[in-house]
Amino acid sequence: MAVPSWLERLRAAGKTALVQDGKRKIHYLFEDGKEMAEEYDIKTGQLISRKWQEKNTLGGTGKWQVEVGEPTSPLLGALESELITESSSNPIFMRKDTLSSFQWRIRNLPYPKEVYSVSVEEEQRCCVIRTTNKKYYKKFSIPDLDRYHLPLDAAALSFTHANNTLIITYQKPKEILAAEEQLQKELKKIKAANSGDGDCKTQ
Amino acid sequence: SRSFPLICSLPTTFCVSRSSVLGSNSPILRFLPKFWGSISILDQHPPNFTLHPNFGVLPPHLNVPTPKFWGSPLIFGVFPLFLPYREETEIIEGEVVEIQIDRPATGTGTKVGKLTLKTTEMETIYDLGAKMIEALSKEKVQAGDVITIDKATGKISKLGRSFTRARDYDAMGAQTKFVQCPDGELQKRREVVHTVSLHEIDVINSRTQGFLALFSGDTGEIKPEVREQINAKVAEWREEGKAEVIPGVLFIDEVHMLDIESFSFLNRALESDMAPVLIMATNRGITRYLSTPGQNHSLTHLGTPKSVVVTLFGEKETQKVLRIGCEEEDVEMTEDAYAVLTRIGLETSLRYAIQLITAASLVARKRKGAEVGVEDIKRVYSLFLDESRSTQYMREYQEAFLFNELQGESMETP
Repeated sequence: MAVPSWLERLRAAGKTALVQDGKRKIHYLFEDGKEMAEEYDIKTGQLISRKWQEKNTLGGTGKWQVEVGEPTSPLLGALESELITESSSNPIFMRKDTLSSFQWRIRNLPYPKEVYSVSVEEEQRCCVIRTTNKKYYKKFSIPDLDRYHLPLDAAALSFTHANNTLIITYQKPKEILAAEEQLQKELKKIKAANSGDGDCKTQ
Repeated sequence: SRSFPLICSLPTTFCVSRSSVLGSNSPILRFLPKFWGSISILDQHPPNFTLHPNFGVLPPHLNVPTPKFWGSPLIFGVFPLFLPYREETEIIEGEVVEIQIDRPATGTGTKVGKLTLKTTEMETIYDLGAKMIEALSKEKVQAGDVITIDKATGKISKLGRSFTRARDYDAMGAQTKFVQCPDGELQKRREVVHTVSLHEIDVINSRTQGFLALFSGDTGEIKPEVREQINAKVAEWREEGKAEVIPGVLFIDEVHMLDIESFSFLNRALESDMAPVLIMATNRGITRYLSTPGQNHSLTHLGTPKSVVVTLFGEKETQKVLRIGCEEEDVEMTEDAYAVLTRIGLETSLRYAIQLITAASLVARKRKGAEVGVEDIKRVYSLFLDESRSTQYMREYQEAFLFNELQGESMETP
């Protein structure tokens, strides 16, 4: 295969690790200039967040794109606060994985469970959330499956609703589980650069 | 009649907005073939100059703090080598459900607002900032309109009105376009082609805060190393076909405000094979340099062989400009009145004639006339003095004014 597999790309990337606040933070620098930052819980090995950053066409660095974890509170620049932002009462979409499944949580969705339907679009390689009252609609892809070139399976997808939150769960296929286990072993081998509190020591 | 030894000349104040002159039916732009690309406009009104946003150029409102900053560095900055490049941007596209703008009770302070947008599948509430509120009210966006907003720049474009709102009114303007309510998600990523000038790339790369520096106006100095790097990169992009360089058109208004260094720079820069088409406008034929008072400048050392002199505003053109002016101001005028006003425009100044339009329409309205006639023009002509009559008046009564004993050097006017 011409395209190197995801695991190979991860191996080739420059990695820096750091243990801080009970999290193992790993920074990857890929050959094409993209950067990825991951945070794992030390005790459980659970992925807490994954972010991406790439240089834009003109050479400036863009913002971090959150793939997994809490969306960064938008630090509004002078320009953005003058323009347009989503109201805080809108639904907030975030991904929060568990060890055995990919999971998405959408907060601020007060409608009853019957309203929602979640389906898989095979050709577009994404999942779609629809609401019968036409209040919310979201298309999202599962980048992990794309990276391992795995098909989407409608049977693996389920959802529940509680406390104004819609939780969508997609069982991780066994290929992913195996790859993640292997990755964890390799990540453990990277020596954490600084296990201290990260602050500069004063003299 | 007056003739201008420059490439062209426009009235600097044109009715309400100058964009009507520089707009699509402008007498100037008629001369420009479409393929000449982007047009940037360098307006020399101190203390700001603006790259005109109407032409899709990013508008960096660079403040020019002191007169010593005018001139070559500034021009160098905006000398436009446009570089279209593709980038994905986030846009919001939807039908306006509700737009709500709260003014503070005290009358001053920032306005806050909420905008509800929907597609066939969803709806979302957005908080609006002051600039966005201004832009929305400028575009006269109301419930039922289908709009797109570029999230990064805040540019709004109206696509039309939603079909579901087609029965709101019985009477519709001819331009009202009905469109389907968009489907899918409100926020979409769309590939757009940007054009940026080299200066903008320099700015993005020279500072950590990057892009924002363009808008805050504090660009600071761009180091030669950065410039060289950018030049190399741009050359690379051109070879790879990622970007192309369009020289574009640089329009410098009030060109007489530039100093001698600027003209030397322009002279040199025009010889570059990527030089843009340069259009200069002034209302002064021969005047003095700002920085070097002793010397007259007439742009002649930009070289007549290098430039084409367009003499605008003969009788026909004057009348045309006046007609555009009347259209802008929604003033109806009889043919006789046009003829009289054109005469005035030719004999006094075009600006004076344009300014008479509004005044004359007010006079016409007062006598409850449907359109402006010759007598209205006559009336305002007697009420308001033009430059030469005003000068004459001053000469006649100069003993009656203060400071008449001062025998200063009188200003030369063309």
